[in-house]
Amino acid sequence: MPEIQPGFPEVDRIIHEPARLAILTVLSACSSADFIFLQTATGLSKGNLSVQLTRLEEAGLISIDKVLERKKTRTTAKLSSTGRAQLNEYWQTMKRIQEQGATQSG
Amino acid sequence: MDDRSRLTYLTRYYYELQGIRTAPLWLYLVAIQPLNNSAYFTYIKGPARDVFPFIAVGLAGVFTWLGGRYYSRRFGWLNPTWIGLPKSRVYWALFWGSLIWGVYCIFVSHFHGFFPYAFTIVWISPLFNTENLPVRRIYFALAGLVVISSALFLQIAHSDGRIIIIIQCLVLLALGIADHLLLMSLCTPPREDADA
Repeated sequence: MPEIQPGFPEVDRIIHEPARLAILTVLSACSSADFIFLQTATGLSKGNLSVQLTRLEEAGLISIDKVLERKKTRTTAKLSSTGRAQLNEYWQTMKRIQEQGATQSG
Repeated sequence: MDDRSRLTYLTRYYYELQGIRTAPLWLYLVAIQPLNNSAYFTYIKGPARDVFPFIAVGLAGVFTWLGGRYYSRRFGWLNPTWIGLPKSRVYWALFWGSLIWGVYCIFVSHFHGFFPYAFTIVWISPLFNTENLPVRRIYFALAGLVVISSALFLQIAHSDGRIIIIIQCLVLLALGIADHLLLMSLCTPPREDADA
């Protein structure tokens, strides 16, 4: 990852990590999604996805729900209102960084 | 296409891209056309003949449901956000135009040849949705062109009306397969590059 130069706005490190950003992007486009869909969409392994979901839940960005269906547990994740606000803020920050970068290089 | 757009599109249009779901229905409609009004049907007699179409449609429904289960197990499940109706004015002008024309054909002119055109206007809506990927809009445009041009040609040639139903169903089947392939291409292949 390129080092951010002084003067650039700070980015949220929890969101900035590619796997977590992919999960949040998927969840921002739907009401909720189950574990299998998140795995299909992001390409993460079960273990990795599980760890990333726990981190996001601990940060208060998503909520995880586990429901027992036909003797199987269905795990669904949903973006919290804080998560949605922080993700929007993240994209705005990235846009500002891009604009500043373009101004400095041009 | 960047990852953000790809993931957002895949999530928003996940259910729309499940093209294999409706394949049994189109295959059933294709299969039933040669049987319809033909000598084969005379082998089925009595009440069974009346019940047969309902059983066939029921079976197509069961296979459609099984198709849904396949997607749920293979690709997962999500609770979608409402995409909304097409916003294109051209689409709605065509839709309402074909609806009025359809009503006129049924009640005034008794012209049954309107159906392929009116039905095409209904399923061609992804062509007018600018959120859709260009490739999807292109194959919907081509499919619409194939159905409308063959309907025109067959009407001019006074051909058997069942042929256009077969063409329409085969085109819808091809669109379903194309949507399914698009869905598969939008999924991320397994990766291990994220820090845990």
